[in-house]
Amino acid sequence: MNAREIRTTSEIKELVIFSGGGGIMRRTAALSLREGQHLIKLDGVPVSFAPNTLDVSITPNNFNKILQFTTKKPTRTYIEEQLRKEAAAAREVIKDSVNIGTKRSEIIKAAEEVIKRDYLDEQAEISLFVETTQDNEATIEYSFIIQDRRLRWSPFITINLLEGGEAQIQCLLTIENNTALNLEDVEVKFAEFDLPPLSDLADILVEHERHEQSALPPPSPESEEIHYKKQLIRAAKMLF
Amino acid sequence: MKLSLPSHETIRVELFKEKAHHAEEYRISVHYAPHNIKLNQHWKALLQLTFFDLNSPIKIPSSSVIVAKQGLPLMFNTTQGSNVTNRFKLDPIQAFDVIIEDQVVAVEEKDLQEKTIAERMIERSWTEIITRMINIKNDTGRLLEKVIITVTDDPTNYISLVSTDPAPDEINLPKRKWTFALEPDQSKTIKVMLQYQRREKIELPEKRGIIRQVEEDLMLQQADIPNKPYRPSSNE
Repeated sequence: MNAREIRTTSEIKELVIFSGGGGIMRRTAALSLREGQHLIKLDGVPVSFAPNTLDVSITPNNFNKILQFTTKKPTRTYIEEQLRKEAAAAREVIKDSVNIGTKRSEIIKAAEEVIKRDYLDEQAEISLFVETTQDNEATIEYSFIIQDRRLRWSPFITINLLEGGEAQIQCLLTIENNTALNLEDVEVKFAEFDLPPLSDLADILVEHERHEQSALPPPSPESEEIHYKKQLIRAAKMLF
Repeated sequence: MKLSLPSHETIRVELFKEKAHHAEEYRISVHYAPHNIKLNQHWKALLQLTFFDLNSPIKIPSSSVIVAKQGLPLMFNTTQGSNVTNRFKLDPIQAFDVIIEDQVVAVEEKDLQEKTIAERMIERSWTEIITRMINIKNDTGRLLEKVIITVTDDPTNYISLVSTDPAPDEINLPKRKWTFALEPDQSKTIKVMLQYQRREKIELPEKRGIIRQVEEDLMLQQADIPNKPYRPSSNE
């Protein structure tokens, strides 16, 4: 298919956060489309999105027709290996930052962001084949469910009983964003909803939940390395 | 609402701060069944706070709650939330200062009937009239504006309520409901009369024939065991 490739620069129109974790993200992007076929690559879709929930629409729809769309997620094994290496390097930076003085806290913050980065923070590739019959200024809107328990909210109500059968009620929301998403001035809504792990990410989400419940940090790369070496020694002993 | 949520940070926002009215209810649920009909009971009172005339921008979420009075914490509770924006209830908690004693005052047996339903099988039926006194005492040291007591009988197990004193405020069978206020250190007593239809089947021992009786007497003489009670052997 000989199509013109376009990368969108979208912005978040609305984010609905689920109390149980994750949410619905609605993004919008403006595009200048010419007559012919286009391969539009959507930005801002994290790997934690549920593919079955992706909903894309393009306006005006009388000149533009979506022929098909494809979704692709990066290979988890390679990404996780890369993230482990980056985290190890970031730890070294933190270790050495003791001599840097006033910049230390900034360095630690930046390094910590690298350490906390997860496979779920990577970007997925969404490509859209669109056929345009006439040049036009189009708007593309897409929404999807994020399956990520690191983004969630919880309420807390304080009631002060007053005289005369009156009460002062205050409801506070605590919103946790432990993802790599940096959300600036976004329209946020809150839904009381707990999404079960969907599709391909079920095992990684369950793993996250288990670590969260046990309050233990995930296995460090060093311990995995030691485990790997031990396995090698055991294998060598069996062979010789 | 428009918010900024930086990565790896936790933020707190105020969803609403509103004035509302509240009411407290003490609910007592009394249920009679065959296992407890003739036993003295201590029932528990559950306190439930309801808030209404609220003007929340969203549905009330399921949440933990701290209730304070004049700025001092009074209780820690939870709410299951609400599907409407103007009222919600806290989860009921046990009120230990409201003491409910339910005691058996009298048991009268009457209308005993016996009939044979098969060979060596008889059925006895009779009626028990059980009088109980439910005493509710307010030990909270303050006025309880609304106490609701519900008495439920068990017709499927032949337990039915005959009469009460005072009469219930509301009857919705098999439930009878009384609603009243209770002054500090005051008690309220409800007399309840229940009818329990009893029935039992009895299997009589097999009648001994003359030959068997002679044999048995002979055995007793040989064994020199006077007045040994008769016990049929397994091969009889």
